[in-house]
Amino acid sequence: MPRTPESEQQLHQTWAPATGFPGVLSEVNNRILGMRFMITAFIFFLLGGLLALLMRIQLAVSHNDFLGPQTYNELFTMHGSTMMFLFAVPFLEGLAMFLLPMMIGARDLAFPRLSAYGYWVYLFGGVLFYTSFLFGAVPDVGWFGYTPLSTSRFTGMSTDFWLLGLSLVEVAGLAAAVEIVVTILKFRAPGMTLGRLPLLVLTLLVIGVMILVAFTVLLTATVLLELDRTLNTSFFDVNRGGNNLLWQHLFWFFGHPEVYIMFLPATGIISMVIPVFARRPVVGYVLIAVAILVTGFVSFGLWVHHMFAAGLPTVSMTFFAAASLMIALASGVQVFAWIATLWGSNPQFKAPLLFSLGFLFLFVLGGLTGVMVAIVPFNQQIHDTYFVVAHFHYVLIGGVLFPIFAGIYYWLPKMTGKLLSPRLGQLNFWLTFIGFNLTFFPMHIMGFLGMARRVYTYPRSLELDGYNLVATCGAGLLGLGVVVMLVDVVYSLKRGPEAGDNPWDADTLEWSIASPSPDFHFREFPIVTGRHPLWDPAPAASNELTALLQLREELADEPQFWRGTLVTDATDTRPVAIQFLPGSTYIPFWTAIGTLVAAIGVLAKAYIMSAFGGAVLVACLAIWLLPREATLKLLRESDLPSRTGLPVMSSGSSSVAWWGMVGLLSIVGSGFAALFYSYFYIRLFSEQWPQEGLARPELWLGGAAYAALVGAAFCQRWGMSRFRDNDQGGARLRYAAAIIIAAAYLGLQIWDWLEVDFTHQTNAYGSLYFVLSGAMALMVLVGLALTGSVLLRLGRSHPRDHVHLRLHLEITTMFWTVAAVIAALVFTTLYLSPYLL
Amino acid sequence: MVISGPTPPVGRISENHSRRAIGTRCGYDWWVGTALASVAVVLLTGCHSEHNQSVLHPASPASEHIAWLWWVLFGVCTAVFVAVMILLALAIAPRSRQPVPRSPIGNKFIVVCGIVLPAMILFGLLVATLRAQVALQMPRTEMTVRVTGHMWWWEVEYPDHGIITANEIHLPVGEPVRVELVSADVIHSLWVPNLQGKMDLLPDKINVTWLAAERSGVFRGQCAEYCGVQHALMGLVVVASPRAEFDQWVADRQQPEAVEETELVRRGREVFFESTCHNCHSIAGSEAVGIRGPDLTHLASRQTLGAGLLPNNRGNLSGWISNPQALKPGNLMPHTHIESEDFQALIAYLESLK
Repeated sequence: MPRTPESEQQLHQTWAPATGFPGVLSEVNNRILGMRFMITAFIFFLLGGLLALLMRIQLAVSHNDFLGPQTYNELFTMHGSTMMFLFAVPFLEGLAMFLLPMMIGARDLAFPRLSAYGYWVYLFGGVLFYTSFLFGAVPDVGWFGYTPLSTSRFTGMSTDFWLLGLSLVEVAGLAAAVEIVVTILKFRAPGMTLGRLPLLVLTLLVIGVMILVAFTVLLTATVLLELDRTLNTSFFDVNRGGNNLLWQHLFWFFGHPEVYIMFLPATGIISMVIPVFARRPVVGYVLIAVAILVTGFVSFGLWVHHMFAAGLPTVSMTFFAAASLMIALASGVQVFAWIATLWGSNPQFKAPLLFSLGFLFLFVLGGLTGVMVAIVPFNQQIHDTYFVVAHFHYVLIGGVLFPIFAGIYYWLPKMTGKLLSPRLGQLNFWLTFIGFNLTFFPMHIMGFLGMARRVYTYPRSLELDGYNLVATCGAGLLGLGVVVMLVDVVYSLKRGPEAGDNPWDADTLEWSIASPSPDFHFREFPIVTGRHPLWDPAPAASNELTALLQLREELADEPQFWRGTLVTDATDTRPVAIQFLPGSTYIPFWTAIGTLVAAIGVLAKAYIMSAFGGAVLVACLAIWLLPREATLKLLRESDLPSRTGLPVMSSGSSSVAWWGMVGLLSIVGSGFAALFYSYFYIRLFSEQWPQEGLARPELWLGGAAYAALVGAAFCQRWGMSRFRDNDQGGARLRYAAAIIIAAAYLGLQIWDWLEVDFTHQTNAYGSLYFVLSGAMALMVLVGLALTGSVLLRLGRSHPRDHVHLRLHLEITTMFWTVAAVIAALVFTTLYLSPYLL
Repeated sequence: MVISGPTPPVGRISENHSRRAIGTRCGYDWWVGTALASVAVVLLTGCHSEHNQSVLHPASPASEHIAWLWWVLFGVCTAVFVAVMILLALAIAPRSRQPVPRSPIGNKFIVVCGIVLPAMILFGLLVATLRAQVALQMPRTEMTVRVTGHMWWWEVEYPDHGIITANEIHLPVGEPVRVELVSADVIHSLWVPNLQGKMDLLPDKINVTWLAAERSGVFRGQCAEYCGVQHALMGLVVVASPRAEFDQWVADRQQPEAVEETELVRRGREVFFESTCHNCHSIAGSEAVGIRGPDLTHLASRQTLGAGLLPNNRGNLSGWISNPQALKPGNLMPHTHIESEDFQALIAYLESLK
């Protein structure tokens, strides 16, 4: 439809943010949620920094008594946990949530309610962490929580605070990852093929996938440890067959990719900033893209380099050392690509570029000490010393925080419409750069002179006082730099100069809209013809282009009365559908409350409360997922399909819900993979299997149960094909039969649980048995809820909702198909492998 | 380009750009120089300590090899760092002519500098690693020491000689010793940097490392895996002495306690058994068989108290026993309330345990 002032105003109204209280609890728009994420993460950053300053004061002189050992240990645990879990990834996810739609030409993220849920759960998790101070139960096991120290034998409720706060934050991270991946795959503007992605978007796509695998493994590990602590299972209890190193393997399988999850988007920011201030396109785009992919993939093969002192076999350590060295090549490619981009460009030394240059200096230094610590014998000297503290702060502050600061200076104008002060930016940079080096460079030497990590004091005889004092003074300077930035931000909000649309003459799509960006971003979708949309020359005319221009004309300021955005094909970005996006709603908030209450119930060992929280959670999810008649009516009656040829209700890979289920199943699959790993790992180090001579499982009972499960899945696939042949009655019959068969599976599994002569508390074998089969049963229960909801709609829905109903069946069937595959693996692991191996 | 977007500004110098040569970019350079100089001064003043817990002052073949490896790494990595920074400086150096819209440098530069050259360097480092790992393999040993980690002290046993001591390892110079490591509770890590890389003490697996001192000396070590509230003060000493001295030390340890029977000492032994001491501590040749705390046999000849915390002398011993929590808050030794006279007797008894 033609663009008019009225249509623009209506668009503003449809996309208007929720205001007032409790209105703000219902916000789902990515712009606002992204900023909330970033502000909350930055507050946690300040808290974590404050903790670090307190630690540095304690360490300024030997035998200091500013903080006692218990308090110091709590502070370093909270400092590490805050920075790693509550600041770095959430801030980058917030930046992604804010920027992504703008950068790819979309109006919002794929799952607005999920964004809101993710924010609330993140906030609740972070607050739960810090509530531990009120209860005098502050976590003190380090940010890595090694067993046995973190088992209930050695620590109390403080560790439960840590585990549960962490679980909530992990869930938020997973939610954001699904968002990011699906949005990038489906909402890109026509013409923005994968080969033309802005490099920041590519890094976000890669880390989205990494998060789905890595965070799930950590979530599994925290759940297993929490089970050990509450239900007395024995995954990590060495007296009952558990394995101590298993925790380290699971944790570092997450922990190493975690730092690349932080680092890759940071390099993405640099790849956005440097070309703009060099005023030329980035050199070696394909090499950088390959480097990003290689880094993401190889980072999963490095984790043992955190365990070189644990007594592992030399051969395996050498493999991980070689892989750790190899990944330096991928980082090196990026560094030289940036140098090449800058070569002879007379760059503008504005704050974003200053921080990028600081990043290059600090990250190369930190990366080189990283190469050093990858060398096994050298690692065995400096592991767990201040040399490593120096290394990772160089790569995390230099390699992640400096790019984040560059990004703040670069994109804040897009958020607020105001520019930051160039002079304060310079002051901030030099204070931060000098303060940082003063703080952390001496730590390399301190490590060599014998200063171990995680110590609240050190002997005077080691003569470390001078270095520590310098480090403390440097920390003060660093803090001052951050304060300067805060002052700058606050000042610019009030008095900063207007930024305009594109204050940096940059090349990506977000700079083609106003600053601050409108809530809907684009009135009409952009058409992209190269890697640098605002710099590339105009394309030649073609039929395809004409068709796109026509479509764009039709969709300008549309949909008017509901929130929608264009969906394109993942590979060739041709328009395939218009996706309905929900407006403000309180459901995500209440779902998060349910999650929080369930977590607090576990923490307080008040399991009734957990059950209540779980019930709230389930009820909210049902309300969330079940389609509303009002929405369906709206979409049914829309005239957009007839005007544009694009459906407003879609199914299959044209619908984001389909991709959302793919994301969920990736998480479930990773979780089960972690459980299988734990099973075979514990088995490898057990003298006999089953442990303590327990009887091997009943093959016929397990076989019958799992055959029923697979049968239920097949039945639903059969029902799906009946549906495709327009036989809704036949489909209903088969879905109903599937429910009965799945119930039979549950009955048989419960029979098996009652029959075995051990419990989950007997030993690690028992724990694994019950938890693996329990996880399978939980998945089946979720599947039954899905099937039930299908049955509610089959044969009763409006004929014109056929496509939507098909989507519903597709995702249900997808879920059950994967459940069947996992069932086969669970059966093989639990029931067959004791006989075979 | 976005259709109907603004005209591309490639190659255009923005109005805000100001050209200033590197080095005069800002007046902060002076501050940078002063700061670096101050740092250098501080660093150099740390050069006169004993360095008895230092990676870079090796006293064994193992740590010597690792120190050599470090200097190779340092050389290579410093050279690489300087080279990369020079390239960066050259890249951003101001040019007098108009900047070209495309970089003059292409993919070949990136591939050579980012993949080919680093791969060669890294391969060389990998070879150095393998050589070091071969050199650091455990040699043939004639003696075994078993170290059990506790929260927050070290139990040291010589199974071949029937000796138990605590927080102290004695070695004969020039002879490698096999060290078996296990933990009684959480994960600890034995680290004596002058002699060897660290190795964890695990509760469910015996790890094995080796120690060999090339010269006599007293070397300090520390727990290097966070193990709870007093991880920071879980230290130990390793005493390397010539073979004859070491044999004498072993022989002395194998004697049961040779106690001079003065009145005070006898009273002190009574106090030891009347109060709670013997519940946790054992003394060979007496009825004290407690295992929760360090073995106190031959306590008086130990170098330190409190796991490397304090030098072993009368004053520190008194201070430690009367209030262990003040010196090492959170450790597992409680206050013991003993009358002043009895306390003196107890000290005399403990000092007699040579």
